[in-house]
Amino acid sequence: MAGIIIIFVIGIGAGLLFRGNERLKKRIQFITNIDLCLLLFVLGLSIGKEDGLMHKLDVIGYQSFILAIGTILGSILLVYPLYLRAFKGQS
Amino acid sequence: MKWSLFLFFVLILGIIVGYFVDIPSSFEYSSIELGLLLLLLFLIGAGIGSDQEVLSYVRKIDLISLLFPVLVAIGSILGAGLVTWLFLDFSIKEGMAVGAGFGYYSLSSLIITQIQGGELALIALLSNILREIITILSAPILVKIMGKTAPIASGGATSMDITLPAIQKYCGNQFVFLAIINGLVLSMLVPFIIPLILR
Repeated sequence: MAGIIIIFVIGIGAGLLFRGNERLKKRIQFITNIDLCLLLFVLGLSIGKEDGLMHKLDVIGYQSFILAIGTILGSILLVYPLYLRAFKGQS
Repeated sequence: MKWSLFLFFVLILGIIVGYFVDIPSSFEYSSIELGLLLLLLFLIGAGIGSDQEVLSYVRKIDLISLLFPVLVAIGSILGAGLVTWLFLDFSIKEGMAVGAGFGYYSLSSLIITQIQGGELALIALLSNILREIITILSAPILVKIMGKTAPIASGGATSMDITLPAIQKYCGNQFVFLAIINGLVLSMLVPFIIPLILR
């Protein structure tokens, strides 16, 4: 999985080299979107072909919901002291 | 919002095709996914690097606006770990990895497929989409109870794009900068932290 990080960092470096090139930026955005669509479609294929997964969507939905609530509450609570100290005056 | 609905539709379409169409077993999902994922990461990196606006934001970052996303990251991971321990029947590590998606559902679920496989990836996908939707719907309530930075924390990595309109509306323009820094830092942390947790 080190590959993921290395590629990502190389990407940032490559982007920095072509900084401010608006046409290139639009092209990158366009190819990113196509790539993302393809990826989600293939991800969908691999989820759909696994019979077991489709039959327990209710359980997976429940687990996902619990996790979403956990991450939201966790992040809000941890940020709250910083809010009181640094941001409350701005409101 | 329209764009993420479209992506969600593409995913559903993939699931339906995968379920009903008998795809030859020689079709190599994981290597195709890995190839596309590496290309995606390169492109996302290049997009961030080539964006002048991003750089102008980076120059304005101070300690507090950097501390904020770090706290959001720790809170998300610990919160996910805690509810996994209390309510769910898979390992705390897996729950924390889902939490470390920070709302970035496409990237996090794709990274998790590569390391762990389909089921946890699907949970990561749904859970991080739900995080986005819940943030948008609950933003006005969150502001009242937990202050104007709460929707930014709740939005996680999406506070720079998908949940930004809601944040701007209910928190005000003075919080847009924090929301963008928060989204930027968290988006960049996703590919680092998920492999770190799951390994």
